[in-house]
Amino acid sequence: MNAELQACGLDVGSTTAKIVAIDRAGRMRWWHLEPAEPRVEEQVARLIDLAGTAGVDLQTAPLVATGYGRNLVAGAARTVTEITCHARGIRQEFPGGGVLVDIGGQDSKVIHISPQGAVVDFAMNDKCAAGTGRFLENTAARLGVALEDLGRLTLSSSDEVPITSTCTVFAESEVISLLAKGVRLEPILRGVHRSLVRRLVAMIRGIGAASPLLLSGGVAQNQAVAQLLSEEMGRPVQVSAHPQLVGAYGAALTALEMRPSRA
Amino acid sequence: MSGPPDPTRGSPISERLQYLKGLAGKSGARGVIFYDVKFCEPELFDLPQLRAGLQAAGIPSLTVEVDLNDAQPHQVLTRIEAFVEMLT
Amino acid sequence: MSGPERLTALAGIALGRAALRLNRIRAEGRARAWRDDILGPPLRLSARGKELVGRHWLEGRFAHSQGRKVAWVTSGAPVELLKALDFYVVYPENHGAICGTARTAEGVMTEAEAAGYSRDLCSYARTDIGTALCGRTPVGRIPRPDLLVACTNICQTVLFWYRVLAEMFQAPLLLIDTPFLYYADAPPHAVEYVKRQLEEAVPVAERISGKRLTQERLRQVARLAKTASELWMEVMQRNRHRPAPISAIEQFIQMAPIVEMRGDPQTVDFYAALLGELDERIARGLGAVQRERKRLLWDNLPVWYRLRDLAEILGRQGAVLVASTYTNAWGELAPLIDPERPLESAARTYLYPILNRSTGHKLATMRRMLDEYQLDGVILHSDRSCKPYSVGQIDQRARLAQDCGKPALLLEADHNDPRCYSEAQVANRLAAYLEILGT
Repeated sequence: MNAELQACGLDVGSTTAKIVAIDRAGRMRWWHLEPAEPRVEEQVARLIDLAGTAGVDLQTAPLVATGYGRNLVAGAARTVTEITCHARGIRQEFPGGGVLVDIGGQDSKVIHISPQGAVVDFAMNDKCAAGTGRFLENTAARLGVALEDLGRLTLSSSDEVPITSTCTVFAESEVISLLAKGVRLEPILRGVHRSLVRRLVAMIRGIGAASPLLLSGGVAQNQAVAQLLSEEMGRPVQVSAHPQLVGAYGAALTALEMRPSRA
Repeated sequence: MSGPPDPTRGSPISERLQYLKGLAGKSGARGVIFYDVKFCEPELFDLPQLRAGLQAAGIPSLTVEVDLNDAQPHQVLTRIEAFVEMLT
Repeated sequence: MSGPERLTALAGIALGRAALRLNRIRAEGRARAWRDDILGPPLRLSARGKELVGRHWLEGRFAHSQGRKVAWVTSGAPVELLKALDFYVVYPENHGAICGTARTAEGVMTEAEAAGYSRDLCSYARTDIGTALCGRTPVGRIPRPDLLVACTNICQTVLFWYRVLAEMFQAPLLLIDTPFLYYADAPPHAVEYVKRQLEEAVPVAERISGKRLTQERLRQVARLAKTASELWMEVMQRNRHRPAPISAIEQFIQMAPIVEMRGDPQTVDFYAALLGELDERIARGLGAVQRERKRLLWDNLPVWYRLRDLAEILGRQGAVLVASTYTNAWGELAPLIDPERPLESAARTYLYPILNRSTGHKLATMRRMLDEYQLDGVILHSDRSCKPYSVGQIDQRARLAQDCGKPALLLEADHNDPRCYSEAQVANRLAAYLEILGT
């Protein structure tokens, strides 16, 4: 057992499952990420075992569960929503408040965090995949582009073709028909990214646009999203150094705060 | 026809806001949840000014949109939970 | 109003009018040089109509500095009494349509949505509230309301929309509640109810305008409104001819004066001139499309941001929109206006708009129009944010096919929100429909 690992956070998302262990100073010491599996309880059990082999002692290190499957985590000391956990996690990296835009695989959220670190307001897009990673994933797959190349390719062109379909599924058809007409890949990609970013902007403006603008979630790794968002909002955007782990990290920090003493 | 101010019976928005602020004060409520049925115009038109007024009075609020006859989707529960966490 | 303010206003109006006149002359020049394979030559008077509407909004910019009071009203509001009190009247719905055609609606709607107004709300309301929040408008500047007048004869949405405006502008709201007509005739108690509301509205309107309502002036306005409505009806009825000299799409544009300038003498002059030009076109065999093969009816509000596209998609196959229940609404009530008893007849007139009547009545109206204009089919615009106009269209479509043997297309879109318009879906449905029609 590694006594340094004092608390644990588990974020069971709809696309990926993440587990993070931290030390008493709140630093991330171990983490693991993998695609979400349909049999949530089995995956959760396996992840907790994995944490055990990494040195986490669940008898002494509390675990807080968050995310879509948070209520399916036996052994969780507490469950907390991803809103609160993301706010907690990002605050560690960017104290002073701001607006966090978390773009996940199947949902996106905007959280207004006060300078004192409290959640002031939030908005969730969890009814529609447009504005989430799924939108980009689908179109990338259709275009035969690897996810990790999306951002670079998108930014390589200054031309842009608007995508008018608001629905992910219909946008796919639109993209195909554009390609069939001979439109180049990169301007189409820019249009796709622009659509995504505009959905986010609508959510951000509904919350009230405070500064700074922070980005997390798998899609935050796409530099085109960060850049276009910054353009549309007219402000710089700061991306978390560990964008996919912010929720799990926040859950771990919450768990740490539950410990009776920091000895 | 007495009863609380009601948009479907012509109550001005400011009256409804006053009533809500009064209710929140009397009950010690920490926040307001607007539980709205999708497409309900009387509610949807009132919402922004009500929420702004509540915010100005230091009362946070949450809007949740549901369908009349459908079971509670888990997303709605998450929002309500997140709101409660925000208040505590 | 101070002397300098008035002078500035006069100068502004003069300059504005000169600019509008210049635009008209240029537009007329372009119209003369027009060549198109699909659509017929544009109306010469189109440019004059645009100038007329432009002058109306220009007047609004300077209304307050000229000592006038301003009323914002719903499209079905009993406007005659307000005009007789010299209110400058703003129609937010018309302004919404202008934003729709100018393609600026999306920009202002997002302002309303950012403030928390749901995307499920009427796109006119979102356009209006968004404009009020950010002040951006293609018409220059819209004067603030001293009075709001909402009449429920077009929908109930206006009730809630205008309450928001009342709160935003801290302006008094006059509500004219017109009971829905389920049956053919308005029951006497409904007419009495509306009449009493109109009578009660008079002192309120007088107080705000600072003027007294004279029967003479009211009769004059009612006379002008009646004449303009009759002329508008004649304009639409010229489409009994083959080829139809003016498409319903063109009518959507040219209807602006009958809605937002009803009661003004210029409106009468304009439609009289338009009638003249239509007669000329009929004499010359000029139609709205080059090759008229199929004649169609449009039900519901237009798709303001895609008028030209729709005209071309249809025109390419020789199809033309010849009539619409929407434009018809502003002519069919002319017989009810009695300039000798303006307030009394207004109580009836404003109960009978098509949207205040049953879906059965709308079906009967469409059937009558199918015959009157010798139509081949109907396009029912299923308008996402206008439920009152769209409800019942599914049944109406089935009955039109069944009882009249006329194919009817249900086309999903929205009158002002381009985000609810799917190019691919619309093109597909229209193409399939045109094939069914046999174009």
